[in-house]
Amino acid sequence: MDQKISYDDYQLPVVFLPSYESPPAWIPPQERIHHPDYNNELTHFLPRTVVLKKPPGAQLGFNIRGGKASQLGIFISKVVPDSDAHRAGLQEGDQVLSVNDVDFQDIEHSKAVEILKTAREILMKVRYFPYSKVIFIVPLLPEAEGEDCTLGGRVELDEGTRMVTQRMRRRCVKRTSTASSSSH
Amino acid sequence: MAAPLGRDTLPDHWSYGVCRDGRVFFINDKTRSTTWLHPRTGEPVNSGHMIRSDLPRGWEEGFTEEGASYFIK
Repeated sequence: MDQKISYDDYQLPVVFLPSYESPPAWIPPQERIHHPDYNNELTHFLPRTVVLKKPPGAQLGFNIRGGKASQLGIFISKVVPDSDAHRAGLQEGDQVLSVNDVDFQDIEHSKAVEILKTAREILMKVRYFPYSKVIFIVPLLPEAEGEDCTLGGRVELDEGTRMVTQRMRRRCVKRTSTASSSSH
Repeated sequence: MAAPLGRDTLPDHWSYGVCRDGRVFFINDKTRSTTWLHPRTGEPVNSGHMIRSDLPRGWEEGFTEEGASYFIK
């Protein structure tokens, strides 16, 4: 068996995504009503619109993460309690589909930040997609400067992933101390 | 509850389910199988993987924990 390359020897930034998972296995219809992966209402995950007004100098009260560099969309990683965003129903795990008619599904993180920071009124289309919480996004690319360094909340990690995650977390902390915040 | 996504959207014997984390999958009660791909379009609806425009229809790119990419059909 080929020896795995040491993570320190990777020449390119490392992005960790969960391994491919098959969909839930088929079960008889009469058993679906009690199965947690079958009986979820789709309406809970459908797109919805959030409108935020941003007075000059005010914070919108949320963080974003993701972006084109990570080959992912833009997701809400944190919502400040009692903020305008919180009161408008924005929540961690929301994917931002568009902001003021700009498509956010294939946008650079820095561009997304710019749009959110400069807008006085934000018409944001989002959808709740909590699966995004298990995705590890490790912003090591130059254009990822200032990106939210929160790592995803995967519950169980194998030893190798745990070690890499700890190392990445240290890098994120170091980067965060010098990078501009992505809080809005 | 899994239910037809729309009367004319899914073929006979098909319905859909929604995982607790928001991923949509499709259920074929005739073959007793499930898939992430919509049975008419061959595209995933909301499976957590990015669709790449340069891949053949039905294929997605995923990543291993070591960062290598692989392709899913």
